[in-house]
Amino acid sequence: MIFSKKKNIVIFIAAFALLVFLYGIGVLKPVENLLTRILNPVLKQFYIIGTDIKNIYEEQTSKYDLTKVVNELREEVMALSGENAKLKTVVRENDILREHLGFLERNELKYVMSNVISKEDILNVGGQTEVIIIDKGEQNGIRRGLSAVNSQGVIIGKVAEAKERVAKIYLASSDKCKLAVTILGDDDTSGIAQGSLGLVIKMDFIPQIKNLNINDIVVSSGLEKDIPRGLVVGKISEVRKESNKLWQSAIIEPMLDMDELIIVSVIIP
Amino acid sequence: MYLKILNQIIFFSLITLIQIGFVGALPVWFSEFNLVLLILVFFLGFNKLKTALFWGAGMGIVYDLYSFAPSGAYTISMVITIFLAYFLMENFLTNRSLYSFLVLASFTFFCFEFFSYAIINISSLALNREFLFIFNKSFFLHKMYGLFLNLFLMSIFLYLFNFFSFRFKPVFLKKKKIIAAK
Repeated sequence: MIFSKKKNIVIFIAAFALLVFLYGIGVLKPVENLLTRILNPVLKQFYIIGTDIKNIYEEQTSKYDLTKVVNELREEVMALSGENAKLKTVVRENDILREHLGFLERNELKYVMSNVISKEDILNVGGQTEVIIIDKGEQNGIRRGLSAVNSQGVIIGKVAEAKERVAKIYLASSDKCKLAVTILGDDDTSGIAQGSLGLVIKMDFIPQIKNLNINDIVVSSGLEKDIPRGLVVGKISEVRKESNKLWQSAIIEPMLDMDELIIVSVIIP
Repeated sequence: MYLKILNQIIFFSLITLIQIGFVGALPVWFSEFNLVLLILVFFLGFNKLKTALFWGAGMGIVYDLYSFAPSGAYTISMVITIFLAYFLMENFLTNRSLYSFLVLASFTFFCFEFFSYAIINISSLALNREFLFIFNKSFFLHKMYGLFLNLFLMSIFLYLFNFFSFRFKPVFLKKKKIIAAK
């Protein structure tokens, strides 16, 4: 009986090792693709339920003074309306110039819309959400280094890895996500934005001679191969400048709540 | 028999998807809850090694489908954890009391985390990929809170289970008074 039990264990281990080996060399990829295709919709629903519960929990426990926030937002809307009017004029002028110079019509950005199905916190190293998994992958043209945006076109992160039907995205607030950025309206002020502690984004290597202001909008500079120019990253909430250093840095506050992401779009160059 | 196997596959796949999608999206410490390991501890506690291995390997495979860790990392960790936990239970924890389940659960969580991190980091070193740096206060604090949460929830499940069945020994032995007949 002991011999039979040991024999069963040996058979199990051998079968298991073979399975892992075949999975590792990619022979079982069609099976993996089929399984992820079947399981993705179910996983998406579970994730949405979990996120809804989280949002309700945070709403109840939030201690914000909503009246103060509303008043601040009203002032911001008024300021932005004025700026918007100026920008519309500039856009019109730009269109006319382009017609005159005979530029080719710019391509619309190509994108792949996808659902967030999980946060890769299986091992949960840091406690903050720094990675999300989406239900689209290489089959849809997604590959490493592409940018991901939300429905308003605000950049939320970069694709880290892609399998056939799923992909991993480092959020912009993750220290593994680096973006080449610039200040909106001041193309000469470029730097590297890197996430910090899963909460904020830090922009480094800004020359000391450049003037940075709180609430300046930071956008992608287009200097990276696969990331188009002009995608909003966030706004500056703090400037760190020391006279004895070569560079200054800025803390960028993301313009969206990374924890409320349900649908993201990956920009395909 | 095949229907029974298929039912089990569907059931453990759903549980793993709930762990990955639903539990992962929960707020604060609740996302540390590990439903998969708790279920495996239950099976081991009732001496169902074969079921635990079948479920463990299956759930590990589903984990690996959605993980970007080296292929099979979670499956291997799960299976090794089950064998070690079974060894502990058979040789050191001989009764089915609350404390033995909690010890088994703690050991299982520790083993799974240890082997997962070890396999991922060793293969990262070999493949020159990103390294999961874990030696900081925040990480250990987070894991400790997670362990306490899981043990607390395990206790609740055990008491509920015991309420509806009587398959566990009490935590404290009750002394009976014997009145000598005169």
